[in-house]
Amino acid sequence: MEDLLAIWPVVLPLIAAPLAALAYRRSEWLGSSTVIFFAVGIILTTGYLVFLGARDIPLHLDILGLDLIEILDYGLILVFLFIAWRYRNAIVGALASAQLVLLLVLDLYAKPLHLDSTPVAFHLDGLAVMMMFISGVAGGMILIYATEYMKDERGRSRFFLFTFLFLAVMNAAVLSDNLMWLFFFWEMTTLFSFLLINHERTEESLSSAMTALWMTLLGGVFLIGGILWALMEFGTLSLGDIVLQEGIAPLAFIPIVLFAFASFTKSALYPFQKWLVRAMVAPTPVSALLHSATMVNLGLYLLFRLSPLYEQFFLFAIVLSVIGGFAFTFGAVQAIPQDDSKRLLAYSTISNLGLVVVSIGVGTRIAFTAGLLLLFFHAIAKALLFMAVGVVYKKTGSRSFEDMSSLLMRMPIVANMIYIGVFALVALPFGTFITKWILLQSSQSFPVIIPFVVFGTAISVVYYVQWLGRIASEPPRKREALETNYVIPMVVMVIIIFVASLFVIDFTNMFVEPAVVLRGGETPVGYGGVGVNELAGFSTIVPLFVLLIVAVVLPLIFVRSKKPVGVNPYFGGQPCNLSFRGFYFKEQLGEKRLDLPLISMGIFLLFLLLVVVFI
Amino acid sequence: MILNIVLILITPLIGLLLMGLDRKISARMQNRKGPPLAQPLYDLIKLFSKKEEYVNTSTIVFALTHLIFMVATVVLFFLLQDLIVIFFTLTLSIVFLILGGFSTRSPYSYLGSHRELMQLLAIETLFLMIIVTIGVSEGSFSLEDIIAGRSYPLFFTLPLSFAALFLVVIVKMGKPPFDIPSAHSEVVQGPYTEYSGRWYAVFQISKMFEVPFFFAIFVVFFMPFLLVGLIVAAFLFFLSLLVGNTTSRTTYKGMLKFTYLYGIPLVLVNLAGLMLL
Repeated sequence: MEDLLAIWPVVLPLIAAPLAALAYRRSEWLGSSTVIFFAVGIILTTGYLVFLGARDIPLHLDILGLDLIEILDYGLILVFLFIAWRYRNAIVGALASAQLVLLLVLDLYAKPLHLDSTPVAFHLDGLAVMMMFISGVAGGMILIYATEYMKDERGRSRFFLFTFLFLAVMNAAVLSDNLMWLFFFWEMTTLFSFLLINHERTEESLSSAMTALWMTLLGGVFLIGGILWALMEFGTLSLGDIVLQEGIAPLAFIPIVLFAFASFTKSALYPFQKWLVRAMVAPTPVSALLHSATMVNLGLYLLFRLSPLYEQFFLFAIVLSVIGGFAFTFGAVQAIPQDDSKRLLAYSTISNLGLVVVSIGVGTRIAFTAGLLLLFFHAIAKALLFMAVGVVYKKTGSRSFEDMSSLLMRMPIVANMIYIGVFALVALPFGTFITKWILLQSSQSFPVIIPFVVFGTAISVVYYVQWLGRIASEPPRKREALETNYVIPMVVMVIIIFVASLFVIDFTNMFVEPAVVLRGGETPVGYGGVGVNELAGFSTIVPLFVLLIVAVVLPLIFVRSKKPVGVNPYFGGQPCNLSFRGFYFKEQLGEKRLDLPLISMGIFLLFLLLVVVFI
Repeated sequence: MILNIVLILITPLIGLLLMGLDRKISARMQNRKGPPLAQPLYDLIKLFSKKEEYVNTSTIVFALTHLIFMVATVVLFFLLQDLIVIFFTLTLSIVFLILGGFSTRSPYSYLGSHRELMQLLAIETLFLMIIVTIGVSEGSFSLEDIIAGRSYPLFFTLPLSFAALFLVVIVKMGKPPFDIPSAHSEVVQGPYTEYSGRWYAVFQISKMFEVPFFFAIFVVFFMPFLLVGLIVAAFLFFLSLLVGNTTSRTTYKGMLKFTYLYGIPLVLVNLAGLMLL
C-alpha cells in the first residue's frame, strides 16, 4: 500500500498531463480547472508523504518489467538524434551519439561481465521525499499560476502536457535507485526542458533551447560515462550501493567526479551557467519551473545523494565547496549589470545554488541540513519572485527594471510580493539567512569558504536592493487590478515562507532531518556528525520575527492616517522633469567582459576537482 | 541584565555627546571656536519643531523601519547576542535607508542612495569578514561567549582585524574622504535630501545609536580591560576626526579600493595567522 502511495507524485502528473492537454483542446475553463485540480492533488500527495515521516522503502515495481528500461534509454537517445537531425545541430548529434556508444558498451560489454544482480528500480527515502515535496509544492503552485498566465498564449495544451510530464519525470528521477532509470529520467528532464524553452518556437527561443540541450546532454554523457565506470569498478547499478562503498581507490572515485560534473550541468554552475540564463526566453512559468521546482534541483539532488562518499577524499570536498562558493560570488557579481528582471533572477539562482553546493562540500550534518533548507527556501522564494515578475510582464509588456518604477503604487500586491521574496532570500530572519548563519558557523573548520560566503552575501544585497529601490521610486500612477489565480499561488508561497521560517526548528526536524538520513538505514551524512539540535542555538528567531513585524507593520499602520502633502522633490527650486536610469556597471561587469574569464575559471575548477582525487 | 538595559538607554546620550564632541573638536582643528557641546541636541529639538513635510508616505515608512532596525542592532548588541544576527540587522537597517532614498523621484536622493549602496558593498564585506575572524578565533559568534571569562583581550589574537575595523569606522563616520553618499556639493544631502523636519531627525537619532555602536565594538576587542578599551576607543574617535579634517573627498571607486585593497588583505592575513597558529 505504502509502495503505491510513494509513486503517486509520479503517477498523478502522468495522468494529469494528457487529461490537461485534452481538456485545453476542449475549452479554456475545462482546461484550467483540470490543471488546478491535479496541481492541488500533487501538492497534497507530496505534503502527505512528508507527514508520514521518515521511511526507507525499496519499491518493488516488478510489473514494469526490468528490461523495459533498456528500450526506453535507446528510444530517448534516438529522439535526441532526431532533434539533432531535424535542426541540423552537430554538437547535439555528437553528444547524443557519444551517449549511444557509451550505452552500447555498458549493455553489451560491461553488464554481462560485471553486474551481479539487478537492483530495484525505485527506492523511497527521506531525501527523495524532500525533493518531491519541493517540486510538488513549488511546481503545483506554478501550474495554478500558469492557468492564468497562459490564458491568451498559444499552444497551451502542449505547454501543460510538457509541464506535467516534467514534474513526473523529475519526481521519478529522485525515486530512482537503478542508475539506468536515473539516467533515463535525467535525460527526460533534458528533453522536456528543451521542449519548454522552445515553447514560443521563435528563432531566439530555439537557439536558447539548443544551448540548454547541448549543455545538459553533455551532462548526460558525464552521467552515462560515470555509470559505466561505476559498474566496472563496483559491480553494481544501484545508487544506494555505491553510496555505501568504503575505501575507494582514487581511480574508482572517477565516476563520482563524473556524476558531480553531470550535476553541475543540470544545476547550471560555472562553466555551464549560460543555458540557464538563456532559458529566460521561455514563458515565465517555465522559467519558474526550471529554476525553483525541478531541473536545477536535480543536479544538487545527485550531489546530495553521493555526499557520504566525499569524506573519503577531503581535497575533493574542499574543491567542491570552492566551486560552489565561486558560483555564489560570481553569480551575484554577474547579476549586478542585469536590467532584465528574469536574467537577474537567473543569475541569482546560480548564485544560490552555489551556496547549496558550498554546504554539500562542507559536509557536516548541520551544513547538510543548511543546504537542504536553502534548497527549499530558494525554491519557494524564487517561484514567488518569478510569479511576480511574470505578472508585471503580462501587465506592462516589459521585464526591464526601468519599467518597474513606482510598482509599489501601481501594483502594491505584486510589489510587496517582490519585497517579501527578496527579503526571504537575503534578509533575516528568513530561512536563507539561517543557512548563511549556519554556514558561517561551520566556517571555523572550513576557512576556505569564508571569502566566498562573505562576498556573495554582500553582493547579493547590492543587486537586490537596486531592484527594490527601482520598484519603490516614483512617480505614482494608477493602480491595476489583479486576477485571483495570480494572487492565490503567490499568497500561498508567502505563507509557506513565513510559517517555515518562524517554526524553522520544527520545520527542520520534520521535513529536513529525515532527508539527511540516507538510503540503507542510519548512515549518517558527512563527517563530523553534529545533530540538528544545534539549531536550537537559534533561539533568537522568534524575537527577530517580532522585530520584523514591529519594524515594518507599525510604520505602515502609522502612515495610514497621513495624507499626501504633495511636496515636490528638491531640484534647486525648479520642477524636476529628469528621468534617470539605474546604475548597472554594464561596462565593468557586463557579460561581454566577464563571461570568458569566468567560464575559463569554471573549467579550470572542474579539472582541479578531477586532479585532487589523485593527491 | 540591569547593566545591559542601562547601557542600551544611555547609548543615544553617548551618541549625542559624541556628535557634540565631533563638532567641537573638528572646529578646533580648523581654528574655529565651534558650537556648544549640546548643539546636536538643540538641532534635534529644532528639527522636531518644524512643520511636517514629506514627498510621499513610503519615505516615512522606510525611515522609521531604518530607525527601528538600527535601535534593534544596538539592543541586540548590548544583550550580547549573536554577532552575525547583529550584522544582518545592521545591514537591513542600511538597506531601508537606501530604499527610502530610492523611493522619491529626486535625482540627488537617487544618486546618493546609489552611492550609499556602494558604501554598503565596501563596508559590509569587510565588516562581516572581521566578524567571521572573531568567530574563528573564539569558536563562537555569541557576544556573551566572547566576552565571558576572558583572560587576555581579543586584540592580541586579532590585531589586524582590529585595524581593519578602524577602516570600516572611518568610512562609516560619513566624513571626508568617505562622505560620498551625502556629499554636500555634489548630491545635496544624498539619500537624506528629501527628508526634512522630524523625518530628517529620524536619521539623526539613528546616528546617535550607530556611532556609539561601532566604537563599542572597539571596546569588545579589549575586554576584560574595559578601561583600556574605552581609552583606545576615545583615541580612535579622535583619530577618525583627524582623518576627516585633513583629507578631501574621494570617489566611490576610491572607497571600494580603500576597503578592498587595504581592509580585506589585513583580515585575510590575520585569518591565515589564526589558522597556522
